[in-house]
Amino acid sequence: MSTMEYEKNKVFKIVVLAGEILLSNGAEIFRVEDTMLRIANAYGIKDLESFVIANGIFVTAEGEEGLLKFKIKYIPTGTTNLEKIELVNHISREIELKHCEVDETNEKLIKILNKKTYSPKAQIAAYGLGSGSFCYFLGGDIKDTVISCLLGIILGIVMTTANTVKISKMLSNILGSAIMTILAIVVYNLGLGNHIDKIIIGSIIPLVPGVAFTNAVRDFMENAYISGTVRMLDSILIAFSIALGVGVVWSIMR
Amino acid sequence: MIILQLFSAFLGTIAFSILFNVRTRYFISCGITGTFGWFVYLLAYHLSSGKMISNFLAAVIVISLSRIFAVIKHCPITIFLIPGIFPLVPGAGIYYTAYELTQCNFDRALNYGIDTFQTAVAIALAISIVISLPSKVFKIVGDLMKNLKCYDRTY
Repeated sequence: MSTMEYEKNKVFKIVVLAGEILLSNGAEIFRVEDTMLRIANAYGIKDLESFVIANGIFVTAEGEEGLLKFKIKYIPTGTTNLEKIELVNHISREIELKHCEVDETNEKLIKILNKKTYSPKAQIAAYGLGSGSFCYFLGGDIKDTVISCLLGIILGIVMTTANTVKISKMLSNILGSAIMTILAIVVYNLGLGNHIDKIIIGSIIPLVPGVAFTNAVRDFMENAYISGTVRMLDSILIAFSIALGVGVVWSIMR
Repeated sequence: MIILQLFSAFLGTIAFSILFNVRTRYFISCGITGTFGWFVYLLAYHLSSGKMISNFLAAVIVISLSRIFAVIKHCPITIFLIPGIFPLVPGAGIYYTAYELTQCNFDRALNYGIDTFQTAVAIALAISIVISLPSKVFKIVGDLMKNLKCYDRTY
């Protein structure tokens, strides 16, 4: 293998890696395609063709003597991490502006891939903050807000432990919303809150599929219909699993 | 009253920025985006222009602000758009629809469903319109606030 070709293989790997990081952290389809093309062009692969859907990447690169490389990469839908999207985007632009060694870029990308999220404590606090404030502006009063905030913190603890045990997304949503409903009913019957429906909607709001929905709409707008459909179905499925958790408990305990 | 509501929208947006792992330095901008969106929604709703129009106008503001912040801070629009649009997104609506279906209240489910669909369409329209506006518009606004370099749709 000539050094030229060896170099191109390395570039190809980086291109796929960048696409993988973007897609698995919830980037839009056009951004994935665009960034891969950008990196490839900056390193001198001119004929890169990519086809990206919500859970897979297909890329081919053409060399002088026909097909150089072809890759299919399956990427399960993961959690949203906007920091990683931002950093990969930043790197792709940096490469365009000034020359960067291929190995250096590779190292940077691997660093991004292994980057840690906010600590569980911060996330749990965010669950509480989110629940409380959403309860308030969806129409709850101060009492409901405080209760919702506390329930949100409990939800945060449940969800972070569910993440470490690695149970399926649907099950953890059903479980989380069921626990929230039980607690909300108990608290309400103790006479602490005023509007039980606001407490429930506030405390489960961190589970609600807002991102999946926004991204689905954006994909439709960019003509990525397959991905848009997949993400829309994903958000409907999550909504139904939350509703199932609430509904079952509500029917039993009412 | 309304001040408290807006403040809770601000805090809520920041809470979701943490959950979506936005870096700390963008928190304030995310919060501002969410707050203004909710403010415009309340204002339009108060002037009784209906839920769909209110959502549309609010989404237009959220996306425009996201694009402006993207130019100023030189980073992808997604960072501000996803947390910022969270107060408007009909996540609660999808949930209510599904919930009423599990309780066999079909007419209420239909009501919520249509409501959710309307909101979704309004937000979708707003996104498609503002995203397809020429980036020059936002560049000019961004330049007014801070002098910076090139911009295109991935930002």
